[in-house]
Amino acid sequence: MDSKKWNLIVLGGTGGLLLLLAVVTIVIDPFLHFHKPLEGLEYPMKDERYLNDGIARWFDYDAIITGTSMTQNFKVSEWNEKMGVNAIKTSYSGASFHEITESLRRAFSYNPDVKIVLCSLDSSRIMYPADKDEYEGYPEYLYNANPFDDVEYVLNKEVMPKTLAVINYTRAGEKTPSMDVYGSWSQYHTFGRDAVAKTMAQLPEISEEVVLSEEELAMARENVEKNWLELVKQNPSTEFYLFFPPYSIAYWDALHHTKQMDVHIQLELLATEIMLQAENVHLYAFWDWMDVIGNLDNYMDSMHYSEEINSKIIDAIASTESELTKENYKAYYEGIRELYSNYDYDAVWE
Amino acid sequence: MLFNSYIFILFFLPVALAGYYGLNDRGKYSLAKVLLIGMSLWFYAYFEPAYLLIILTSIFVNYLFSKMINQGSAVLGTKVRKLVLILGIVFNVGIIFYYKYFNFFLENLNVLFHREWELRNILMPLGISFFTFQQISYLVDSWRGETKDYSFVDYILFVSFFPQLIAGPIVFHDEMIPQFNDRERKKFSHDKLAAGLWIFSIGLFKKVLIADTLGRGADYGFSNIAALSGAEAVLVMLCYTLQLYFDFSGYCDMAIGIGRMFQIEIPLNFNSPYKAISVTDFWNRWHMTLSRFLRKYIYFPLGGSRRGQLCTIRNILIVFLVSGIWHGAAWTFVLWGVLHGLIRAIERVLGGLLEKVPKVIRWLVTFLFVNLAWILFRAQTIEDAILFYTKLFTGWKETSQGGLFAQFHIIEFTYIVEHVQVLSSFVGRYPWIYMAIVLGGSLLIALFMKNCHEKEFKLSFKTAIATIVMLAWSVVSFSGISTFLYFNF
Repeated sequence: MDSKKWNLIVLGGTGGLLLLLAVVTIVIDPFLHFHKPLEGLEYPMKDERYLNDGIARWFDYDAIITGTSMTQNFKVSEWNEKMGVNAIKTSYSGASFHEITESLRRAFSYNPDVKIVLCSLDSSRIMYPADKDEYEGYPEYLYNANPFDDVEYVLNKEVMPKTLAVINYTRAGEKTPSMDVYGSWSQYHTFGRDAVAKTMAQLPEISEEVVLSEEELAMARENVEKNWLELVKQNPSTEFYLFFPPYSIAYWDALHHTKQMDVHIQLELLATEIMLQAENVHLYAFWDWMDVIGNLDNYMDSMHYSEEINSKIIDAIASTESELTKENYKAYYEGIRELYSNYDYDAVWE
Repeated sequence: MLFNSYIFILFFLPVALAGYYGLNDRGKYSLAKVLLIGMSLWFYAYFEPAYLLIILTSIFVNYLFSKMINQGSAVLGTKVRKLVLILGIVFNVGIIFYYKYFNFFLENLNVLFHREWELRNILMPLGISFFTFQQISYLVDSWRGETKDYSFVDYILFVSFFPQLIAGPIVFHDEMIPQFNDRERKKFSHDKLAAGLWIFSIGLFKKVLIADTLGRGADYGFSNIAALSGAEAVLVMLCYTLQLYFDFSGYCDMAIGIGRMFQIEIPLNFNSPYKAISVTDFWNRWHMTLSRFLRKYIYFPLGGSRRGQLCTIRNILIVFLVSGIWHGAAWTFVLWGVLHGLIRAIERVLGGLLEKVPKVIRWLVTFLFVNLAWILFRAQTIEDAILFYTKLFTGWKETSQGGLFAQFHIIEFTYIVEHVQVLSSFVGRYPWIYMAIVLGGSLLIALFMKNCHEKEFKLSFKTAIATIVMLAWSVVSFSGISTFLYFNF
C-alpha cells in the first residue's frame, strides 16, 4: 500500500467514525442537550445532572420544582393540581445553594414565564461558601453557551452506552418516566428505625456548646444573600416557595449530642431573616410536625423522608400551613428550641 | 494545550500542518516558520496566558546573551564573554529557582531557623524545567563556539516548537535548527505523515488508555496508603511504575510523531527502560535526552570518569543529585536522585563483576529497585513514602478493602460485563479481574514487546485499521461521565 492511500484510509476512517458517533449522539441526544425527546423514542432519564439543563431548556412548563434529594420524591402532578401550574422537576442530589440557584438562573433564561418555584432550603447547606459546588467533574459543557465544548458530549465513550440505552429502552417497550417518577428514589430504600440506626455514625463526645465565629456567620450570610436573595429579587414576577426540609428526630438527636442545636437554629434564623426581606418568597418550616419527625418509620436515614412526607409538604404549602412570616418566625423558633431542648432522645432508640 | 485534547487533535494540529505546508508550498518559508512559532505560543498560552510573558522574556534575554557571547569574541574579550555566560546561567537558574524551588527553599529555612516566613503563591509555568535547560545548553554551546549565527526566528522556534515544549524531549540546537532550515523537509510527504500518524496514535493510546487507567489505581493507592494491604501496596507500586512509563513515553511518542509529520526528527527519549538489567542501563533507556544533557553539561565538565574512581563517583552523585532536584522541589525527589546515584556508583565500582550474575537476576534486582525508588518519586512526603514501604513489608496480614479494584471498573469492561450474563457472575467472584487485565497487559507490553521505534512500521491495511482504532478510541476517551456520589443528600 502506498502512503497516500494509507493516510486517506486512516484520516477518512478516523474522521468518518468520529463523525458518525457525533451524529448519532446529536440525533438521539440522550441528555437532551440539542432537542426535546424525539417522537418515537423513550428515554430512561437517569443522570439528573446531565439531564436537568435539557429539561429546563426544552420542556413546556410554567413552574419548577428543584432542590436537593429532599425534593426528588415530589409528585409533580400533586403540585400541579394544587397550584394550577405545569411544573418540571430538576432536583440535584446534595446540591449547594450555588448550584441550585445557578440552574434556576439558566431555567429563567430559557423560560422567562416561570410563575412559581418550589425548592428546598436545606439547613445543612447554609454554612457554605457562596460559590461552592459540591462536585468535581461537573458537565459544564452541557450548561454553558459555548458550542465548541459540546464535543465533550458528542465524542464521549461514556455517553455511547447512554445513547444505546435509549434505543434499548424503547425497544423493550418502556416509557419515558413522568416528572412524578423522574429522580425519585423512595421505592428503592428501606425506611424505619433500624434502617436509620444503621446509617448513624458514632458521634463524638462534645462538652461545650458549639458557637459560630463571625467569619462563619458572614460566610453563611453571603451564601444566602448572594445566591437566593439576589435571585428572587431579580425575578419579582416569580413566586418562590422555599422550605426547610424536616429532618428526623435522629438528626436532632445528633445535633443535641454534638451541642450544635443552637447553631442549627441560628443558621435557619439567619436564612429566614434574609429571605423574608423579599416579597415574592414564601418560606416554610415543619419542625413542629412531631408525628412526622418523631416517627422514624418515615425515614431511611437521619434526614431523608419518604414520598408520603413530600406529599404532606405539598399539602401544607398549598394551604399556607406552617408558613413563616415576619410576625411569627421569632416565636416559632423559640418554640422549636424549647421543643428539641427538652425532648427525650433516649426514647427514640428504645 | 495537551496533545491528548479535542482541540489539539481536531483543530490545532490539522490547522498547523495545513498552514505550515501550505506556506512552504508557496515558497513562503519564513512565514511558515513564523506560523509555527505563533501556533507554538498559542499552544503554550492555552494553559495560562500569563506564562507567555515568562517564556518570551526567557527566550529574548537568552538570545541576547548568546549573541553577546557569540559575536562578542572580537569586541568584548574572553573575560566579559565569560561574565555574560555566567550571568546567563544565573538568569536561567534564577528563573527556575524562583518558580520551582523558592517555596521549597523557604520551607526548609523555616524548619532550620524555626521561622514562619510566609510561602508565596507561585504558579509554576509549565515546561519551565525543559525550556530552561534547553537554553542553558545553548548558552554554553555559544561559549564553546558551537552555535552558529542563528536568526531570532530560528532561535525562538528552536525553544518553543510545540511538540517538545512542555515535556521534552530536551533537544539541542544542532539537531533542530538545521532541520528547520532544510528545504528538503518543507515539501509535504505522505510517507512522513503516515509514519508520524502511526507513532502519534501509539503514543496517544499509551497515554490515554493505558497510563490514565493505571493512574486511577496509583492515585487511589497513594491517597489511601494507610488503608492498603501488603499485596495492594505491591499492586499500587506496579501501577505507578507502569503509569509513569506509559504516560511519559506515550507523550514523547506523540511529540516524535508530530515532529515527523512536520518532518522534524525529535530524538528518542525512551527505549524500553523496564527491560534494563542495571541502573546504568536503565538511565541509558529512560528519559535519554535528560541523561545526555546531564552528561554533556555537568558530568563531562566535572571531569567525567577521567580523574580516577573517586572523582567519577563524586561526579555521578552530583549528576544524580541535580537530576533529583530537577524532577521536583521536594526532599522525596532529592532522595530518589541520590539513591539512583548511589546504585549507579556501586555498579561502577563493581564493574565487570556484575557481568557474572545471570541476566534475569540483574533484571529482577534492577526492576525491583526502580519500583521501590518510584515510591519516593510519587509520595507527597517522606513520611508517606515510609508508610508505603512499611505497608509493602508488613501489611501482608491485612485484607483488601476492594477500593483499589474498583478503580479499574472502566466503561469498556463494565459495559460488556453488564450485557453478558456469564461474565457478570465471573467478575462478581473475582473482583480483581479488571485490574489484572490492565496491569498484566501493560506489564507484558513494557517487558516483552518491541517498542514502536524498534519495530519497523509497515504501510498495510492492518496498521491503518490499528491506527484508526487507537486514534478514535483515544479521542472518545478524553471526556467521560462523572458519577456524582450520593453525599448523604
